[in-house]
Amino acid sequence: MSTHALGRQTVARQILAEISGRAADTIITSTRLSDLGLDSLGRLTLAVLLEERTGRPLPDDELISVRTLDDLERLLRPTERSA
Amino acid sequence: MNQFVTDVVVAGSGLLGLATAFELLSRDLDVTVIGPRTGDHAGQASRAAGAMLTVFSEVEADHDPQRVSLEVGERLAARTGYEAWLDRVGTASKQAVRLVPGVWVIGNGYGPDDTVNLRAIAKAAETHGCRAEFAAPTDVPGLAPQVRAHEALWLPDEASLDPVLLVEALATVLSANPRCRWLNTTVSTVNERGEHLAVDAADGSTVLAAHLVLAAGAGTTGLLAPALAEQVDAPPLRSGRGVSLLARVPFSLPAAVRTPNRGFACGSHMVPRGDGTIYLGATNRLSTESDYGQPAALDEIATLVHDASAELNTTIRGAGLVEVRVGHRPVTLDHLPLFGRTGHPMVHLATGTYRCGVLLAPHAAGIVADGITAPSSTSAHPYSPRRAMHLPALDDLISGGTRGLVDMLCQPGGSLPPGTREMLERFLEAALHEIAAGTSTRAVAMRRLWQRAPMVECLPLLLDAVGRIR
Repeated sequence: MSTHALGRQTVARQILAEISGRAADTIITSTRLSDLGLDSLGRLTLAVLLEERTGRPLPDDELISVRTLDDLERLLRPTERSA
Repeated sequence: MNQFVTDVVVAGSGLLGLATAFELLSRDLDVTVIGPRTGDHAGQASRAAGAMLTVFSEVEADHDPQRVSLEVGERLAARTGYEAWLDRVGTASKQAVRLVPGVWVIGNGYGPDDTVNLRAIAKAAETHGCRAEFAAPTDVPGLAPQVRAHEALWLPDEASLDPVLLVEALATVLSANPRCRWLNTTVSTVNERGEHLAVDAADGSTVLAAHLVLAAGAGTTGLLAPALAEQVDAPPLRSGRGVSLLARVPFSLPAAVRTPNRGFACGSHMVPRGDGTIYLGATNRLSTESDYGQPAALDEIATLVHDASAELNTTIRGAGLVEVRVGHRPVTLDHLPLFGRTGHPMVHLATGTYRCGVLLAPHAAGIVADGITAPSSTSAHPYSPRRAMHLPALDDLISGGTRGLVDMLCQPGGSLPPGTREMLERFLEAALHEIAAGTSTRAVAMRRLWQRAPMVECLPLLLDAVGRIR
């Protein structure tokens, strides 16, 4: 895994921590977004912040299948490889 | 793998789905219902509903007159046939569902627009030849609030019922009918297969059907495979998440009592359920995705209890809690329901009823069944899923909605120093306009939210979204 990829995973975890108010190191890959109390507005906020910090567009239809941090990081990976 | 063949699959086991199945069976069709028969029915709007048959009391003074005329006309058509429909359900199920006549609407100082809204409600009733009788608040049985009501309106042609009993009665009828199969599961996906629709269920069964009625609330259109969804071309659906509760109270309540609509929600209301139990409702928060699994938050319950004890009856604070419910009311971007045939001739919708699903269920069932048995009869209906929707611009909604935002922020009992209410309204309006026109992360979030839900109920979320980005 590249440093770049690792960096993006950290960004996803950091943003989830910001939105949920939880410490980043307590959020593991299997943590569900719903367990962090993210409602539909929280998921939208997550998408906007991820787009801003990674530069990768995250349309609604891609984000709708994301349930866990792991799902989110998987979603970010293909773009990193093709970048 | 189980495979069945049927005339019509009804996806969804809320009142709209069950009423449609009941109607289709009466038209000599084989029906398969796919939806939870047992379990907690998390998020189902029908079981969390107050179930007031509100023909007029949902009217707001600033609603577009054409919309009021259309909606009241359709609700009145539903209300006119309701007793006869309940009798049919009662006879077939041998379970009588009692209709409690009348609804009281009260106005007080917490709703700055209550007076004008009560008059708009009365006018809508009188325009349609129905009674609307102003009375003293002391005449309203069960009303003993902290804040004194200044007027009351009795609507004898509205009514209320227990939606759980109605769901159970319909379920009894359908389960006993040999032409109805009920799969106690959910639809996982739908594809076209030859001349049929192949409806795959989560339990592994597949049902081949000539027609499909989607009555699964805000999650309805997500059930279709992408190629089919493109042909169906259903308008977007969102949901109004509502928390309600049942409580055992030490006072008698012979008829429902409600406030007019307030701050993007339906105000406070208490509805008799029999045996000293009342229903208290309800919150309304727009969800742009279906998050049915989210339980009620303590804040939502606290809001209900606070508002009801302040505006309806102070003894509610000491009432015994029986149950808390969460329901997602399906709503379209133009707030009108979706009944009938879609862009695909075999796929039909029965959803989008927002706060009037219990009232509209039998009316919807008739329209949807007509779309199957007499295809050309309903294509021009104003609730057709193929109608054009005229959606407002963000700036127009901000300009018209900040008064409601201040209502929502204050809640019943919250008060601002004289003159500051207007100041706060103007500030919020200016701030939201400025942010929306900008390039900041908050502006991006705001515009994205707006694209997803261009409707007035989005305004509280805009405020929330701006606040969440620090």
